[in-house]
Amino acid sequence: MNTKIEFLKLSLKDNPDFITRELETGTKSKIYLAFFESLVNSETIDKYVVKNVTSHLNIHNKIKDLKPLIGGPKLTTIKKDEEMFYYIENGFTLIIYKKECYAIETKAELDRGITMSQTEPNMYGPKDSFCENYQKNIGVIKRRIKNKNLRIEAVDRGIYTKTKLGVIYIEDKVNKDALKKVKKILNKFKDYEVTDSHDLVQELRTNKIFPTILKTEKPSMAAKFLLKGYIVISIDNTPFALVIDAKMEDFVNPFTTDDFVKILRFVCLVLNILTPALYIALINFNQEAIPSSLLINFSTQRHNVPFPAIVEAFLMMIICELLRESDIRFPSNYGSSTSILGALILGEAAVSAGFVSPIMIIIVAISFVSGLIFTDIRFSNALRVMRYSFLLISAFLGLYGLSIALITTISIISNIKLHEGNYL
Amino acid sequence: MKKIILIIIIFFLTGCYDYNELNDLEIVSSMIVDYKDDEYEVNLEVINTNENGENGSFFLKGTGKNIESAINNVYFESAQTPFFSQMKALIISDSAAEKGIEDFYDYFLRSADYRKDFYFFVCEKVDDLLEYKTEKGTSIGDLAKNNAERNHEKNGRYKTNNFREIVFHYLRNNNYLIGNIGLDKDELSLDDSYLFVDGKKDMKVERDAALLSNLLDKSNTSFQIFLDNSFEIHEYKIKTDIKEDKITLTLTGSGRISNSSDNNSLDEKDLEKINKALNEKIEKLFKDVIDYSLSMDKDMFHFNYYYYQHYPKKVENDSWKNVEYEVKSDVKINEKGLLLRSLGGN
Repeated sequence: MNTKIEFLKLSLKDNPDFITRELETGTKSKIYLAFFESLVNSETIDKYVVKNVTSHLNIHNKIKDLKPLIGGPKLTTIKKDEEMFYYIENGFTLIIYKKECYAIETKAELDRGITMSQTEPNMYGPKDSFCENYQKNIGVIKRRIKNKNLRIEAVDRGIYTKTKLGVIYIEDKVNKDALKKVKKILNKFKDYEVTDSHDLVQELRTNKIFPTILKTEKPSMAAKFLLKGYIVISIDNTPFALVIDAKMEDFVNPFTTDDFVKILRFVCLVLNILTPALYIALINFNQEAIPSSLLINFSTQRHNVPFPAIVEAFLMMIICELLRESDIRFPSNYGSSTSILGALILGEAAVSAGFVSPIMIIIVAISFVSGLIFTDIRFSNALRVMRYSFLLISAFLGLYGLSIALITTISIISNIKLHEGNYL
Repeated sequence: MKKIILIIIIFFLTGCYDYNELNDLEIVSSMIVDYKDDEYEVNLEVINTNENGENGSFFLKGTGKNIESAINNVYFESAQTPFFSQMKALIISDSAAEKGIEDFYDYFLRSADYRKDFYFFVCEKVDDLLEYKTEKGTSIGDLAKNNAERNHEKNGRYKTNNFREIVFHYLRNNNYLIGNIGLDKDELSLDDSYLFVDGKKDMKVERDAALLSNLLDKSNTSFQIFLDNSFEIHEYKIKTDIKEDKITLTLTGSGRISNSSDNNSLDEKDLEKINKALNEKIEKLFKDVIDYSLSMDKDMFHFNYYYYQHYPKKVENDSWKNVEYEVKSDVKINEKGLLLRSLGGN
């Protein structure tokens, strides 16, 4: 028996999906095919190898040279035995004949294909989104940017996962220093396993609270960022591309070009962070700043509420967080029922039970509805941190504390550095 | 770690200053002060925030030798903290006004609990006012403020001063007018203003005097004049030209004939005639009130202060009486008749 196939069999004996097949050649030597059943498409093997070999045998009775008989677009000659594992684990089929070894790409379609974007739906733009297939993801970007300066540097990450990463940039637009730094970081952690884009975000981010890496599901967005000179990383088995060194503005206004909508989104950002804190500061410390009729309304509404306003605010916000979390994690069939249940609890029952005042529901609702505009979960988390911090400080120090917190936050955000350039 | 400790220390050492839960506040809408038996009686009108209550407000009473002690005594009547920042009106009784309002200046300027823009009123029958029941959602403070502002702004014949403006005049030794408020057929109504001299109530003045005072203070945007037609004068400017022996007041502005329908057929000559009559009326009106001021020997419009601004070395207490006064009116009527007709409609 062939030593190479013996070696393979011995090494991969614990893999039940590892298959070897022998093909007669009319001589003493046989052709051995080795592949992982779970990764390959058997029809492709049949089409590119088996059919060609058997039809050749039918005519000539023996095979002298194997290479011309192997079909398929991607054929690699393997010189070292260790290389065999890389190819076989990546869905290639190994063809071993005498001392020759070839790898032919026979990957099965294990992904769901290009589907519509789920997390970044848009009405008039392109509908396609990235999928779990690295090659397809690169393909949909290349289809948009047809220029020789588009560079894709593929890197394999991890000892076990060998995940393929594609560092994509446009040579004449990208910031070279930033690119250098990103590559350095990727090299530094080259043995770390990557199963999800999140693992890579941990390595490449420059701030723990505010996200500096934008995840996008849309090839059109990735192309847009590439054209602006950003670096995009595509990861195998992940339907999201990472945009490196995204600025705060990219999170607030990732796709809008309409000025009014831009202003609206910025207003939402402010409302999301400040509404509960401002309300608490005004009704607990600076009542003189509220118009009389409104203050009387607030006072009337709060007349029978047993909790201090800050406790009321925290209660409501935590209930909202719970609802939001359950809504995200629940299967979509249940999702709507939790919303209805939540709305019932928050709206009617809580008020009539004297648990909270109606105005508090309005305040928390304004804050949450404004937050729904921002789809990036990490950016929403950053806003959440700000919202609770502001609420806490305004509960202690009123408007004075709120202004201090605001100035401090702006200073902190201004001070965030990206790999090259500033966040704000 | 040091930073975190510092932040925690800041929270616990400085936090919660001036903290008030909204439920614990009694929102004061107005303060009605009477002076009886050498004591101030302070009545705080508190907004009723209880949904079940019938009236819009109720009163908390306290008496004391001075205003501060009277207000402190109010606290004995209430389990909650009075909140003064939303106070709209300070209404003082005749007797308190006659005693002089210096005590009020002193107290309100010292205290940081009050905004200084509440309106100042005098009321002849305070006891009636204390019996007045407001409807849910309203209060005497609100009604007084809205009524005074509307009259001040619309017809200009009611003098509305907020506390800050009164202090401004008081500090310059000027005489000033304070609005009068009372009950007429169980409704809150405004009456002629009072002239205050040296911080004490002096005399009642007619409404035209309040109009000139408002114009000189430039505190309203329009006013009305009534002849055979009604006129609304807006965008007015009043110029005071002070000479050593003569003060000339020149009024310019745009006029509109308010009772429109009869005036569609007016030709240029008629209009000119009406315009002339209007200007003559304004001149006479203001000349009369100035003469009245001279005859009563009261500098209602603080002309002495204007004189002082121009001739600081020559001014004396009665300088304003020794100058001649001239009033010129140059109001132009630029709107007449129905709007639709003037646009060419039928």
